[in-house]
Amino acid sequence: MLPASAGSAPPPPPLLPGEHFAAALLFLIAGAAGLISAAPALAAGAFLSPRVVATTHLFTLGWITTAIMGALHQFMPVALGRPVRSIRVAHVSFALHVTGLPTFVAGLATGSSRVLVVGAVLLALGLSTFIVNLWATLAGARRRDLTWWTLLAASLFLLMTIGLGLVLTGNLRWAFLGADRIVALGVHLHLALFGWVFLVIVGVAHHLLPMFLLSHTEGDRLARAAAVLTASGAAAVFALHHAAPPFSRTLPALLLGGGVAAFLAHAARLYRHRHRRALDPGMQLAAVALFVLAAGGVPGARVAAGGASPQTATLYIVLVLGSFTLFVAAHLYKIIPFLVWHHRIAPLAGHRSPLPRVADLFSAGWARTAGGALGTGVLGLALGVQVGSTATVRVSAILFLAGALTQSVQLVRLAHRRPT
Amino acid sequence: MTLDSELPPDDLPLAAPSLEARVRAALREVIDPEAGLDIVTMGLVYRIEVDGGDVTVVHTLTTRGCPLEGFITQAIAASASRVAGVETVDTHLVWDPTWHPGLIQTETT
Repeated sequence: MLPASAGSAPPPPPLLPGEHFAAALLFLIAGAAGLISAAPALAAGAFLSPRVVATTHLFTLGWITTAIMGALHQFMPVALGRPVRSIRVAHVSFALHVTGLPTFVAGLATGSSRVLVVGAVLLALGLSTFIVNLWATLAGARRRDLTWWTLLAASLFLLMTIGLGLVLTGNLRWAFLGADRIVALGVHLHLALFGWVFLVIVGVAHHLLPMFLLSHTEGDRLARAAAVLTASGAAAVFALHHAAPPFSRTLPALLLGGGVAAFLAHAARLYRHRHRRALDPGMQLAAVALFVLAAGGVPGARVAAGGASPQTATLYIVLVLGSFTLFVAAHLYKIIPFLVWHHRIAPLAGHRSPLPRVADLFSAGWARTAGGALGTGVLGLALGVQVGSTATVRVSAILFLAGALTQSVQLVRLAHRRPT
Repeated sequence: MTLDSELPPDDLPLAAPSLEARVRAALREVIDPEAGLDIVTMGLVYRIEVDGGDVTVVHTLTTRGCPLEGFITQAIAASASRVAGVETVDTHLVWDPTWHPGLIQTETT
């Protein structure tokens, strides 16, 4: 038997993931409010309107990326056997990131290109230092498995996303891209959504879903296929963006679609073979997220085929981004209660019996209510965009905001919970 | 652990459970707080070695670097040491064979 001397690493201080999750929840609420404000533009399919772009960044950079940063700091000791290389750098990255994003969004909202550039530079600095810290952590990891490779590839795509984002920001001030602006935006969006966010989801879910579902399937070929196809697809989006149609669209779409299909098949197998038959609120919401991602394939295929209407393109973005948003929300219902249990309840072992379980720390009913509102809100947004109804988009956005507030209040109360 | 297939004669007292069996039963009090299952049912306890009153529990965790390592190791030591007849408890954390959910002993709902 192999002794346990290798492989274990201490988790970070709870402040590090905690500050990221707190900020992510604030950005989620701000993003939900942004959806209400951007309802007319969304219903019209005006995905390039400043309000829609600002709201999109509140979700991609604010909610999803901030939560991923916090979760990775907690997750890396588990998955890689290596703690984050520098806690201090991680705090600096966080400070730059949470300063830069509101500045960037304010620049978009007010039309001030100077504020926009300052925000973009702060964001780029924050994310770049995060990436360097991640690479330093990966370099010291003993195991180079699927999770290691997906995190490396995802961080490279994040770096490319940042670079293109800076170019696009500069173009808003100095207008040098001309008609290439739309192509650059499409590449930027896909690198962010699939190269960065989805690759991280594939790499992390490969590790976490079996644990959270108590599920087991032989081999991980589907997860590997998902990672390889997605990384190849994101690379193709970047490399072929100036190629003639259909290569510029068809090949990347086939690769990305294949990656998503492989991941969905992998996740479906894990759900089917789970030992824990009753799904907790987090895993229920994750299942809804996977369903929304699958639904995004329909408008996605039409966008890839070319000539899709602005509504279809907006619908595609709403479903994919909505899916990732829900997936992150689902996992916070697993990660934050565990962190609280670990730091507040575990030290009581030996002094109190029986100890509460992680699931005892929060109301599953309220969590299901929040998840239901978030999931219904995303589906309603998609419906509103599809039929071009501002009222439907607005009502769905309000429902989504209610879900975001409920989840935030519940998780913040949980984080402040003291053993009685 | 082996099960005796022959019932004891009526005129003899029922055989007391072995120390290993009693330690295993005690380890069922150690609950994985996330899964909500005890570590024996989870399949995390690979072997219990008994030498007189000295007990060694060979166990694993659901994943390397599991934040619960300290908690579960201490809980194993505490639970096993409360069993009558146990004098010392040693815990031995191993990663081979790797734990997977297929090792869970019973279907749960």
